[in-house]
Amino acid sequence: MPMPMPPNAFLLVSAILFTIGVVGVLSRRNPLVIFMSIELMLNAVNLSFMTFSSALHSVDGWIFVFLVLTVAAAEVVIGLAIIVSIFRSRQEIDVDDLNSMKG
Amino acid sequence: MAFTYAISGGDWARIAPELALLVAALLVMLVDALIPARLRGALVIIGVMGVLAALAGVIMLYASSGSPSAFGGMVTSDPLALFATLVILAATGLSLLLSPGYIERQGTRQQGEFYALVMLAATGMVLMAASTNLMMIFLGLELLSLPLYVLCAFAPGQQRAQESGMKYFLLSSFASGFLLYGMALIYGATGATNLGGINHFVATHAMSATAGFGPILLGGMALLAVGLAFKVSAIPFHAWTPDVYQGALTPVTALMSVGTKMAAFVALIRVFDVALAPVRADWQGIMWALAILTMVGGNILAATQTNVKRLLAYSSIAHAGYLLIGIALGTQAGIAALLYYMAAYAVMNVGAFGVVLALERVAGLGTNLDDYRGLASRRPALAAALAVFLFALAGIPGTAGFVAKYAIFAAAVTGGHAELTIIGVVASMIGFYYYLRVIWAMYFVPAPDMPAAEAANANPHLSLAGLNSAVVTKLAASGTPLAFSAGLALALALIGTLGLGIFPAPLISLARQAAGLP
Amino acid sequence: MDLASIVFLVLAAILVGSALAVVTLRNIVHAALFLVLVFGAAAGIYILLNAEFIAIVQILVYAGAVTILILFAIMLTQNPNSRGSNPMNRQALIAAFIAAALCAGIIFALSQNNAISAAASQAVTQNAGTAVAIGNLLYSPTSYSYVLPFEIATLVLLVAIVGAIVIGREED
Repeated sequence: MPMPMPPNAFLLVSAILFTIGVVGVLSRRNPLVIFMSIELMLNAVNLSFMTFSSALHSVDGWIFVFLVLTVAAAEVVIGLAIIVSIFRSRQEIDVDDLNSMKG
Repeated sequence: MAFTYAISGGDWARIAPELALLVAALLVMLVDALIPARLRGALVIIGVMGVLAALAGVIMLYASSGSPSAFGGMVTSDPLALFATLVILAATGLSLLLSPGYIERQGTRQQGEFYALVMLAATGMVLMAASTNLMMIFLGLELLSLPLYVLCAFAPGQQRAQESGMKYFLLSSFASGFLLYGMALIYGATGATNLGGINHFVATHAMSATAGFGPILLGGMALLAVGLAFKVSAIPFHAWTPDVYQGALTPVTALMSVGTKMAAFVALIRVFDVALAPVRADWQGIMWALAILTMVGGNILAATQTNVKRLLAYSSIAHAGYLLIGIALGTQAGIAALLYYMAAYAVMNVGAFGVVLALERVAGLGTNLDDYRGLASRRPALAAALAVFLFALAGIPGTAGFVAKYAIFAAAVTGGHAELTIIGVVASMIGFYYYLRVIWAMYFVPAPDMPAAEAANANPHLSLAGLNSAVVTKLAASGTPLAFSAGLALALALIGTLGLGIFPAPLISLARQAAGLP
Repeated sequence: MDLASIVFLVLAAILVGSALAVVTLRNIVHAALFLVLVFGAAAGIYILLNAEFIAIVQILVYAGAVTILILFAIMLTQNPNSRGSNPMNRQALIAAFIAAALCAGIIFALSQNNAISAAASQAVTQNAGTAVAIGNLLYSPTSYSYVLPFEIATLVLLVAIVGAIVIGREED
């Protein structure tokens, strides 16, 4: 099956998704929402890799996506463990309140 | 791309240092499960043995002949990778030696996991430095970052450590997103993920910002630069550094400040100075601006700090600025100077953090500048050691720091960027101020008269950190004796700092070899 | 316009719409559920790109495992007293500016070329999306393969296991 649209259409969707993720990270306060926004960015990256891979008839992109998926799963485990452990000791999570260190 | 490549035993030999560190990490975990809890402090021996085995691997690879590339161009064991491995191993070994005693004082029961994660982080650092493929750079980066997230959040029940871990995790993942997008765009523009292929494509196709496939490559380079600039904590991507360095356990901070920088700088060298050298005009400006901002900003911000750990964090930002000069120059002399600087920075910075660690009672307490008043009369040996490390960081002649700064500023002049030298020297002058401020406090300001217990009660940070009475009692004890291994680490760092300053020639020639100079 | 193009446009619209919902909705559980839609739509686009294997992995790992973990984290951490309080922080304006610059830059880059450069395209044509081809590429000991990255990925997973245990056991 050939690509249904020119690669640029896919890349454009990927760019928009990435930008939405960046806005989410920068503008939200809840670490879980920030974390979800980072997942959006990673998905945008994967979409770019898949598009380039198809358009270039090259296999490196597929493998890259496979590895990004694996690493993202590992990051989720560590990140959520840290977020939950902070909550257990503080009963609230809000990045703007995490300011016991200043300077 | 050839699909006839077969993996052989020789490929595995090419990553011998990584394998040694990995085996040590696994052994630590295995032995940890088998021995009684009171013996866990001895696990550090396995870690140090792993570092020594990796060192043997590096020496073997230096002596070996044949193509350094392995696994079909995924990794290499060229002199650049081996030099970086040496620096990372030095930082890892010293951090491991600093840990016993200190991490027990923090009240953790999970020493085995601590050492295992340190070894895994070191594996990731060495792997990233050896990577010649974007894929491996990314995996090495993640393998070093994930253990560091956990290590940053390690101190049980301590708010600062958890904060430090979460900030590092969120911002670092954010930066990884930029890094990956940059890699995707570079892959799309050149059709290759291995650096050799990227270099070949860029060299054989006329690229410019407005024609052909240039724009995507340009965007990819910018995003990749942002991602790596975050990892070396260049301004304006430095916001995480002070909080993370201050909140994490001090041995972790020491390892992170040197190992992550070394790995990320090698990645910068391989991607920008080597693979993308033909399009230098497109990226040199970014690196030039980053170098200036980081040098000046880091030093100015450091000058206002009142916490020594935080001061060292800002100082590490400033040093990243000097190191970025080597990247911005793009010359082999610049790379050689960068590598020597990094080696010098490893010993003097880990040494400085080592003294901070020896004076720190419980994570974060006893690290204020006020706590260092009159230190010379209370702990003369530690004060003298810290003075040497700080003089080296400031760049006083006779220390490794002076030779390193001289080398990088000289490379900037010969590389046609005298303005970087001038700005760098001015920034270093600001640096003198805050390093000397600590030394002044140690030697010329009398110690506060308050007994330690009262001082502890008066300390506003105490309630903040939510410490229990047992900790207060510990705090009241007038200073902690230096563990033997920590003393050994400090002595080694001291020998390194002075040795590299007085006899720099052997290491300079090694750095020149790593940069491809005769 | 053929069917595939229409499917692509629909999926792209779902993708972007859901992503916007993730970052703007005040209710964090709804945001997490929209994240599932993002992952699903992305998997659909991968199928359009002939990458069935990656699409299935995407569903399993992202829509399955990652979302479940996020939902668990939400259940464990959301304070009932602060329901619905999920506000924007003070940097919203800066964020909008950075985002606009980023998006403009990327779109400019894309607008400069109409197709992937033929020069960058390699002669490698094979059914890369199938599980067999990916399996050969990942583990084959006798031909060019990505055996090392694969092994390193397993190490990353090991770190995740150790790390989760360390953090989870901390409080005892």
